[in-house]
Order: sequence, then structure tokens, then C-alpha cells
Amino acid sequence: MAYEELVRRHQEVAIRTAHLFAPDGDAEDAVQEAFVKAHAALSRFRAGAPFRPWLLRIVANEARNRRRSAGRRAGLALRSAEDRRPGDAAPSPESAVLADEQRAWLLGAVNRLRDDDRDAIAARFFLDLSEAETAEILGIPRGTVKSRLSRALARLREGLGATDGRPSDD
Amino acid sequence: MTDRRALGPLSDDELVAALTELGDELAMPPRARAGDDPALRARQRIEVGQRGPSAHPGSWAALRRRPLRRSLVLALVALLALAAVAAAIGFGVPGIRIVFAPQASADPSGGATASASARPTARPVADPSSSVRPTVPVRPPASGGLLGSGLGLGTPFAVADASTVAGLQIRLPPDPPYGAPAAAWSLDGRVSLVWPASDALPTLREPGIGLILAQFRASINPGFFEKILQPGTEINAVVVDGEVGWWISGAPHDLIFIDPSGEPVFDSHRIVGDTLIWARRGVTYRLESDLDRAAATALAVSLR
Repeated sequence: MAYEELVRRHQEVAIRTAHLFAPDGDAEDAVQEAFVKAHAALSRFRAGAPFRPWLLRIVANEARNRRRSAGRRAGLALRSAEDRRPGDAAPSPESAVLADEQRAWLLGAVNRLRDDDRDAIAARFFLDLSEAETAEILGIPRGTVKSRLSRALARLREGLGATDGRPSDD
Repeated sequence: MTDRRALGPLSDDELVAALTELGDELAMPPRARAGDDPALRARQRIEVGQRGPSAHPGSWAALRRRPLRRSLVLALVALLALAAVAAAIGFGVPGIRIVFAPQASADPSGGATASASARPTARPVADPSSSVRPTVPVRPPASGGLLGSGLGLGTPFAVADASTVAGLQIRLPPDPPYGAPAAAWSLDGRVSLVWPASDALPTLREPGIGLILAQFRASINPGFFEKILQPGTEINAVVVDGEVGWWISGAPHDLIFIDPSGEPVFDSHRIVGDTLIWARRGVTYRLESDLDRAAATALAVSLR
């Protein structure tokens, strides 16, 4: 069936999106639900528009709804060395911006952000979406993306600054 | 060089770089259930019109929790039969693959429509006008003055340049009686010509339009087109110029094609009439009109 093939093309990024927006939930379950809802909404898809951000917005909305109803608040986690895919090496010490402990520290600050700030950072930097795609997935005007990100980064900086950004061993 | 001991002093660019790098290092959820596949599970739910709890592979318990309506079962049976026929004889022509997309809703009227009219057959239909012809939402009037604008046909160009733009010898029906195309459009290598309504070409659901004829070389597009047929759409085999073609009538059908970058593009809003598709000498034709099947086929054969 064609629809199945269509959404499978975007399945990996959809699961990643669901996880980033609702780390506590069952990402695959959310994606399945979003795929069903997207099928029902196909008639509202604007002809000629890119499919991926449209689909990811439905995935993100599904994940956020689940996050709200679950009422829990956990965070994203760093993957362990065993999670690495073959050939997917850790950043080399020379090229890496962050040392391991700083990476954990930064993630802690991201996890402490408000949901909408964290969503903006997740869409733009973790999913590596364009500003236009970020706007669509967050359901905000494109012109708002910059200010939303700027606010999120400022708050992230505050969160880092509150502890001087220093790991506890310093 | 970034200060590796403190994150606070990072510049904006460095902070962005750090976040991008962090994104690559985030744990993703383990694929919880071996062999699990949300796309497959979604499709299974869509096929039976189920909107409830997820059904895991191999488990139909969720489906048994509530009885399926009789009409839904009939619709499902009809669609499975249709799919079997499609698999057996292969719907489609080069560049267009016809697939069936049962609606996600468990609407009993939709199901009844499907069971009544989705009857695959390779024999002629005695009375095509008896097909169910659901009403289509009225679109706002086209903003542009050019015939066919607002239908997502692509970029307009001069009719005289059609063969050049298409990269193939465009064939036209005789004038008279059909008249000359009033507009030409191009989208991803597909050229669509639009004729105004006339005595020979009754007006379509789009006022003022009598015929839309698309011609394209299937091989120029590495992807494919797909007709998504909803319950209520009827498909019949026809013979055009000695080649098998398909007459698609009844409920509106969506068209999906994969553009050269692999992105699926939905073309669901420009379906304006019953459709005849066929291929001849490497060129795929799609003819949309308000003509009945016999008249549409006659027009197809008359192309020169």
C-alpha cells in the first residue's frame, strides 16, 4: 500500500521527533498514531507542499499531547558507547566542542528548560531542521522562530550560568 | 579554542555548535519490539478503519474488542478483492501506479459505497453514468485568469511550446470538434494542456474547463505516480490504441507522485473529473473530462 511506503521513508526521523518531544513516552506508539492521523488528514494537505515537515508536525503534536497527559517530566539522555552505530564514532577530541562532562552538563540544562524552549532547540538543533521546517513543526509563524530560539538560548545560557557552567569536579 | 571547563562563556555560535553536537550524541529510544514497524501497524489500522488502541503485530485482540460493522466488513472484503485483482493483473501504466487507499474513518456510508461500487472488472461497464458520483467540495474561484490556474498544474507556458517543454511530440485531439487548448502548464516534466468547455467537451467540476490532458514520458521521472483510489472510486480496464488503459470514475481520487528528490508530492486537490490513463510508445497520457467512458476513449484514440 502506497501510504505505508510513503510514511516509512520518514519513519526514522519521525521516531526521533517523537522521542525528542516526549522522551518519556513510547515513541513508536506515538508515531503509529500520528501516521494514522496523518492519513485521515491527507485531504487537508496542501498540494505541492513538502511532505516531511507536514508529517513531522503531526508527529510532534501527538508526542506533545502525550507528554501533557502523562504529566511526567523526564529528560533526554546521552547515548552510551554501546548505542553507537558502526562507523558513527564519537567526536574526536580535536573537533569536539564539548568534553564528555560538559556534554552531560549542557544536556542537563536543556532538560531543565521549559517545554516550548526545549522543543524549539530540539527541532532546530537536534533534528537539524531548517527555520521554515522548525516553524511548521512547532506550529508558529516563520518570523517567530528566530525570537523563540533566541529566547531559548538565552534561558539555556542562564541555566548554565547559574552554576557557572562548571561540572562538579571543578 | 573553546574553554573546555566552562560552558557559560560560550559565544552564540559556539553554543549552537555545542547543541548540534549534543544532538548527535543523544540516546534514541531502543526499538522496543523486535520487528515492530509503526508504518506497518498504522497501515493495518487504516485498512480496517480502526482508530482505537494500537494493535501490535500478530495481535488482533485489539480489533476483536469491538464488533466491526457489517458495512465495514463488506467494504474490507471488497477492497481485499480489489487488491487481489490489482496484484494479479497489475493496475497501472508506465509512470502511474494505481493503489488503493481505504479511508481511515469507519463511516458506514463510505463503507457501503465501497462495497457497492468498488467492483474491479476488465469488462465494459454497461452504464458508466450509473456510477456513484459524490459531490465534491466547491473550491474558491481560481485567482488567475488562465484556464486551469489554481489546480496545481504547475507553471504556465505558451501552448505552442508544448512539445519543446515536454521533450516529446505532444499529440492533440482534432479541432474541430474539440477546439484548441487554451492553456499549457508544466510541472516536473509533466505537461498538462487545458481545453475550455464547449459543445464537444462538457464542463467539468471546474467551471469553464472541458478537458485536461497530461502527457509525459515516464522515464524522465525516476519516481512514479500513484493513483490513490478511495472507496467509491471505480476502475475499469479499457483498450486504447491497442494498449491497456484504465478508466477511473466515481469518487475523487488522489494522485501521489515521487519527485526526483524522492519527496512524495500530493496532488489531491486538482482532481476534477473522471480519468482515462493509458500509455503509448513510452508516453503516458492522463485525460480528465466530464465525458463518459466511450467518448473519452474515442477522444484518446483521436489524438494526432
